[in-house]
Amino acid sequence: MNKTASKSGFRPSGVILAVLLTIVFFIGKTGNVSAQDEGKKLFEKNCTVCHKLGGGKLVGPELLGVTERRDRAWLMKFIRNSDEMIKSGDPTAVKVFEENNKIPMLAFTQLSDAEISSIIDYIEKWEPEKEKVFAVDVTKKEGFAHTEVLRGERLFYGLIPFEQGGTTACASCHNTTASDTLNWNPSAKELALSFMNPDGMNIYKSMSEPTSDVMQKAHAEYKLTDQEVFYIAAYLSEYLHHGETPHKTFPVKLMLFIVFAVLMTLALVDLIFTKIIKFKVIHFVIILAGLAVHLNLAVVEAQSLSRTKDYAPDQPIKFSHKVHAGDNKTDCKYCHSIADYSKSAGIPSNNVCLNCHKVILSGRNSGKFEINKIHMAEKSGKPIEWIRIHNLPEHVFFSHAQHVNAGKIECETCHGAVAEMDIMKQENDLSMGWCINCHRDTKVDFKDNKYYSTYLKLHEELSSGKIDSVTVENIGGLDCMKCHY
Amino acid sequence: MISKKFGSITAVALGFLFAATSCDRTRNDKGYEYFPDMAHSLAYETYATNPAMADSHAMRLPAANTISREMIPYAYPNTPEGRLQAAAELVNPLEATPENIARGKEQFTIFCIGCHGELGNGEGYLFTSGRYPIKPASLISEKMLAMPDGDIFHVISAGYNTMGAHGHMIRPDDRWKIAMYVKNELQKNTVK
Ligand code: HEC
Ligand code: HEC
Ligand code: HEC
Ligand code: HEC
Ligand code: HEC
Ligand code: HEC
Repeated sequence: MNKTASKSGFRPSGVILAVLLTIVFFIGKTGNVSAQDEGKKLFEKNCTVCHKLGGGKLVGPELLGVTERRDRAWLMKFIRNSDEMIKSGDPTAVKVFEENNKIPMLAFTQLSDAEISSIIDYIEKWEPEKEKVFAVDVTKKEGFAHTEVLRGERLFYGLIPFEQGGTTACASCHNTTASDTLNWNPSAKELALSFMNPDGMNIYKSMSEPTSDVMQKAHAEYKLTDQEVFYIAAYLSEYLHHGETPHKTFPVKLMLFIVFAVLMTLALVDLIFTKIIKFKVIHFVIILAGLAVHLNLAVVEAQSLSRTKDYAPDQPIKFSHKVHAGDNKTDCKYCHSIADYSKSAGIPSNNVCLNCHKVILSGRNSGKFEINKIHMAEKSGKPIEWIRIHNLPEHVFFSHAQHVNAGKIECETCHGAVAEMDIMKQENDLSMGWCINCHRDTKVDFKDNKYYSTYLKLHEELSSGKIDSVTVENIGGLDCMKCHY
Repeated sequence: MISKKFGSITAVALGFLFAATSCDRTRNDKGYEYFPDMAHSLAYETYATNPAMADSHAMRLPAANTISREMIPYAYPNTPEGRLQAAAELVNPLEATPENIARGKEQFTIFCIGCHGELGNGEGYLFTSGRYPIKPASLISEKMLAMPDGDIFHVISAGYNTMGAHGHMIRPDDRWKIAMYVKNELQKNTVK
């Protein structure tokens, strides 16, 4: 089964065609939103952090039946600005306030009357969700028939059209080949993992009612039948067995190596046997150039052994420093808060993410899929396993506290333009030469930084004009045992 | 002659062998190591997994009913009563010197400004840019003007409402300095 499925693959041209077709089909699909949808949306955006419908008390009281408890005008006023009502001594408002441990509700002055009204309508008409009935066996996760897998694969790659519209290949967004840049859409592998996870998504439900704005927009054209989703589920289940196709770069260096090897051989053969070219200088030039290229390649490669410059692995969550440190202007130390005190700069724990993501449930680029992983990790108690990038050998000691706190060096000096990285990348090679050069060149602030006040002799020399500045080298930054203990 | 030809063929073959084992990494590829004798720690490193532990975490919590040296556990829970009690009992141990307030400002800028804003009025960038849908509390409201430093210290340490606890990210002294900055700078500026 494994083998046939991977052999039966698709033709790349089919995918390209499908991608081209999508461009035509993307235009103009904006479903009109009904008032109830509007209310639902507003409620989910503004209220679900504190209130549940039909699920009991959260921060605020249960709202099911509130439209019977209170009259509409009161509700309008309360939702707009409850604080004002409590202050003006409205007896019901004060009572509710006191019943709820005097936790104030937020004011929603930014919402219009119509919007608040639509929220109240939504609360009034809300009913518990009926168990949806699907035409297929939705619990099946394994043991699909081969034909079902094949059909799912073709649907996923857009090689056969969907019955009720939608021609874009799912694979054009949900990539099946590892991508070299950040693809914000969940990859096919991640969909498959989420599908196979007992706590993961219910694919039948998410295909019939999108879970976020981003997904609504991306999936707008589709109306898949249950049978089609079943085939796709079959494909996803199978997908995990043969796995993601790794991304390949064009082997530039290998080609360079081969080309010069061939040229050199030809030159050598001509020089010794065939003797077509008269001028021997040409042979020697070619051979010398070839040797130079080969030597250069060898040296560069040898130097990069054991070092991981430019390493930028896929992380378990598509966490972007560009979004957080750049667009959101969050300080590095909000997350790497121990950089000032410790050898390690620290990787934030789950609850640091949750400080914000308890409330921010959806991102502009990735929708809910990525942020949901934080909540899943929180629920299961399993830590998120970030992949380590910068890693010095064990025989080297490096401390962030010394550089960031004592030396007042900016993170960007060593880590590059982090606030512009969607995928975290190792910017410098962290070689000994890199450290030493910086220690030779960097001047230490002896004037204002009190950390260095104990270097009495250097201070004296500085004030007597014997030396005009102090570098890290002067305070022992090149001593072997500073870095190798 | 033949031996020379043979020599160049071996050279090329060796070259291929070398080339096939090198170069052209994708971003997910760490590259190669040679003789990594002292490169990898035998002891478990900070965030590594430790197979000897049932939950495989290398970083351990202190054993039950113990605390680490110099650590003072935070005694007040994240409840309205806890907050009132903390506000009544906790007293700022530090003096409001300009250095302490400057340090408070620095820490405020790192940890609080995103939500509560530069002026402390609850209009931080995360809210005004529409990324964080709920308006964070104002620190210069009448209610907060009436509250002592201990109240602010408590909310930073234990959290309140939808704000999570920040006690594990900010040291106790720095929390007091932030409270001091809010009281002595932000709130005074609004009264004027
Ligand atoms: C920060 C949390 C929070 C958010 C967000 C929030 N509420 Fe509330 N809500 C409360 C609390 C707490 C109460 C209890 C009243 C009080 O203490 O002022 C409450 C009370 C209410 C009441 C009165 C309940 C009763 O029994 O009379 C209504 C109605 C209400 N909220 C509607 C909403 C709506 C609609 C939204 C979204 C637009 C919303 N709330 C958002 C916390 C919140
Ligand atoms: C919202 C929290 C957050 C903020 C703000 C943040 N980071 Fe990070 N940082 C993380 C997380 C989570 C990781 C691990 C995942 C990864 O490598 O992308 C990380 C990883 C890193 C790494 C790589 C660690 C390794 O494995 O080698 C560096 C370097 C780094 N951050 C530097 C910075 C700098 C510099 C800033 C400020 C411009 C910053 N971070 C801001 C959360 C944050
Ligand atoms: C200071 C608040 C804050 C913290 C802490 C924080 N985030 Fe975010 N995060 C945001 C905001 C704001 C957005 C953007 C929401 C939007 O697009 O509207 C976001 C977006 C995201 C996205 C989606 C990106 C996109 O554009 O689709 C992911 C994934 C994410 N965060 C992961 C994390 C992880 C993992 C952590 C913990 C290491 C974390 N965040 C910590 C504020 C925060
Ligand atoms: C234009 C890009 C695009 C195309 C084409 C596309 N998707 Fe998606 N899909 C997304 C994005 C973005 C998300 C994540 C949204 C979120 O979780 O908020 C997503 C999420 C999903 C999810 C996960 C939902 C969940 O609840 O976690 C499934 C399953 C899925 N897509 C299946 C499909 C299938 C099947 C097709 C082909 C019929 C398809 N997608 C085509 C962009 C796309
Ligand atoms: C002097 C150069 C330098 C500066 C400045 C610097 N770093 Fe680092 N950083 C490193 C090196 C070197 C490593 C690898 C450490 C190791 O493997 O032990 C590293 C590792 C990291 C890691 C990975 C986890 C760890 O600590 O081992 C993170 C996260 C990080 N740095 C964040 C930051 C942040 C945030 C700042 C700014 C507050 C910063 N760094 C400033 C050089 C620097
Ligand atoms: C500023 C810090 C620093 C100082 C001072 C320093 N080193 Fe290093 N050294 C490093 C770093 C970082 C590496 C790891 C480089 C790498 O990973 O390629 C290293 C690597 C080495 C290695 C190579 C080990 C290997 O496996 O390749 C040797 C040998 C070495 N150092 C010897 C010395 C000696 C001898 C001195 C004193 C003259 C010295 N170092 C001073 C930072 C330093």
